[in-house]
Amino acid sequence: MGEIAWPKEDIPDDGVLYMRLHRAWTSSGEPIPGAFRNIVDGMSTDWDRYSTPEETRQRARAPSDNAVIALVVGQVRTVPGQTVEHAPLPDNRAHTNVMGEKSAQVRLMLMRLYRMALPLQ
Amino acid sequence: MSALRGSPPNMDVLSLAIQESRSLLDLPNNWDAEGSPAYAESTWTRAVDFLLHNAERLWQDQGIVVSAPQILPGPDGSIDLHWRIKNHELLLNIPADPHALADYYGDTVDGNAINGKLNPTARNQWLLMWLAE
Repeated sequence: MGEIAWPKEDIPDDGVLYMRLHRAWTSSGEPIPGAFRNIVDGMSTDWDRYSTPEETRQRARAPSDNAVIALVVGQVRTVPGQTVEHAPLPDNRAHTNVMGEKSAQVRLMLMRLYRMALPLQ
Repeated sequence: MSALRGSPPNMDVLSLAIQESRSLLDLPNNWDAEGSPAYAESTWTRAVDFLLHNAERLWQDQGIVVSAPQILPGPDGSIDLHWRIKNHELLLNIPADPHALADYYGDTVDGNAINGKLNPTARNQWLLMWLAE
């Protein structure tokens, strides 16, 4: 049997993206600018239609080393050069990339948009 | 006349920030369990040289003292210098590639912004002077 191929969907502006935040990318429990970076295809997040913050945290190799922050899709789309693209994986229907160069400007703007969904334990 | 000014009066604060940031060089490959590379000493040195040289020039030429930034791990082996001062915020990224330009962005609560790329080995005290405006 093959793996399930989840359909790629359009994400509305009122969607929320959850992003794991390894403690190494924090200062006093809050993200530092370097936390907002591309990994391979983009900045890896989970769409809240298919994931809770806790499920996002549990996908980390070491969940207890990770906080989870939340970003509103419509606000992310206001950041220069950033697009939000649903990119489901066989084992994670929620997976979504925030595509676009993460310049200093983009990273500072994303720093101003997040809210903490699950703090470090 | 400018040479008489010597080092900035907050050199001890700058030196402490630099000294503490040297711990970045202890981070191994995959230090965040997400594949981030180790930091090269050459990258850290370029970041520190930028800070020291331009802080000294700004003091000697203009008599302006610049606050110490946070010296932070950046993406892909780069190093970030991050200032939050009064109404100003500035992020400067020193890339791991020694031939690449540094990327910067800063803005104020009044909506004034600066954005661009620069050669981090050139004279760039104007950027730190912007923080003091």
